[in-house]
Amino acid sequence: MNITAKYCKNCDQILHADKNHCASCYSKELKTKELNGSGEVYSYTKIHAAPKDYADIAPYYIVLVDLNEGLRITGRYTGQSVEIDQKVQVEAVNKNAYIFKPVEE
Amino acid sequence: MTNVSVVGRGITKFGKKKDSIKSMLIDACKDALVEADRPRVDAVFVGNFASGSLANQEILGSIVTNELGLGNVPSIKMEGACASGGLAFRQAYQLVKAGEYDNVLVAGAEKMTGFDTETVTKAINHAMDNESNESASGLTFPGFFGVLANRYIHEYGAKKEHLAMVALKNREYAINNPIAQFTTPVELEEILNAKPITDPLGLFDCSPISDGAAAVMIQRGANGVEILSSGQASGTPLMQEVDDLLHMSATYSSGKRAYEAAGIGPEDVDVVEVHDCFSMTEIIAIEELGFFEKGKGWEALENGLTKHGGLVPVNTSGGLLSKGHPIGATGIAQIIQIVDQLNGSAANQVENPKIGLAQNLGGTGAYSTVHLLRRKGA
Repeated sequence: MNITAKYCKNCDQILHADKNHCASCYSKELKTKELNGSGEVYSYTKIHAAPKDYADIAPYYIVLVDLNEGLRITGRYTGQSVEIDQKVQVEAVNKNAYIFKPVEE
Repeated sequence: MTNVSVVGRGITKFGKKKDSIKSMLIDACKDALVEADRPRVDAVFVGNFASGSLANQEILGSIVTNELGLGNVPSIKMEGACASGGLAFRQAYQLVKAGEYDNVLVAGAEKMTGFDTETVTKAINHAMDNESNESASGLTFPGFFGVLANRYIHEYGAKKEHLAMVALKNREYAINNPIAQFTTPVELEEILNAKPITDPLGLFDCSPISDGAAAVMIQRGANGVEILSSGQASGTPLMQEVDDLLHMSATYSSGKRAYEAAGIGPEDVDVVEVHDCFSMTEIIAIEELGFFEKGKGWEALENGLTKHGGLVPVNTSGGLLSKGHPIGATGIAQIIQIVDQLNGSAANQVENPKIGLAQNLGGTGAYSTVHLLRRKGA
């Protein structure tokens, strides 16, 4: 699915969705930008010792993903196993968390 | 130039303790004051991370001044996650060097046991930027270093065994340190097969939950181990915004600033304490501080270059991994190990060291401090 990021109208920088100003030029003139949510896993971990709010879903994978359209984002991953360079796709945004699924090649 | 020296030190045993944060803090401070022959104290700085949320106690500065009869001298608590102690030490050093104070008592303390792990994990997560999708995804503080470790292994050909070698070395050092939390010998196999925490990191790759306090007296003049320089830097608190995950820029920059201010380089350093909150973090730190090339830190472990008889002994105290990691106390405890080494009185004493380095990291690279110290009269 698509996800919404931001970009700075002033300097064209692509920004994470939770930013309210551009750290380069301090402009608050941010526009939203739709990204297709697909990318490759830069790295990952499987969390066994989880904080209280996530204890009921542990163990779970966290992935750091380079989106094809140029942003690196952290999310959770629903596949059974994962490797670096694995192709993934956002399947949901759940309580502000990006949930990725594997893409079969 | 004004000399500034460490003239007294005090430290409690680290581990799971019955004592309150107050009693540990006072014990460590009292010992540091007595060792320094109780000079007039001009200010008190306390490093602490989570005494409010975990120990139900703030205003640690004034607790120290009151309990130790120091009158109405200025006091403050400083927070910089796991770098709280290093930050407090740096501010005290700078103010003495600048001529504002002659004698400053610097302490660090943390009370972390007595809660379930999920509660402590949640408290430690406060050391990340929590207003983001990253925190919402369930990334933990150790998880950041798990992600880093998997990429490091992928990029440089290291193996999980090399992470285990860090844990093993630091445990072997801790066995001889009377204040260390873990002094039972372990085998490499046991480390490799331990309970997983955040892959590829297992139980022994992660610093423990600990109680403890440490304190030093610093003083204008040359009457102790001399503080040569202090470097500090900040980094991004979000994993997804780090330029290069394998490069901890705060560690690098704080080291560079400290080396430049002292006019020396890594080749001049005889003994080192780095912030091994995780086994992976020690390998990154020895690279960033210039002891080994980027991507070669794991080979240094394999070749025994970071212990006695190698290039430079690292974490002779047992490190955070085995000495323990009462968060606010850690930065001061690292300074104490280096001071003890330079005074010739340390656990795992290195032969005749002249210069030592202590590096304290906060968050997942949000803060780093580096201090260089020199033996008295050297």
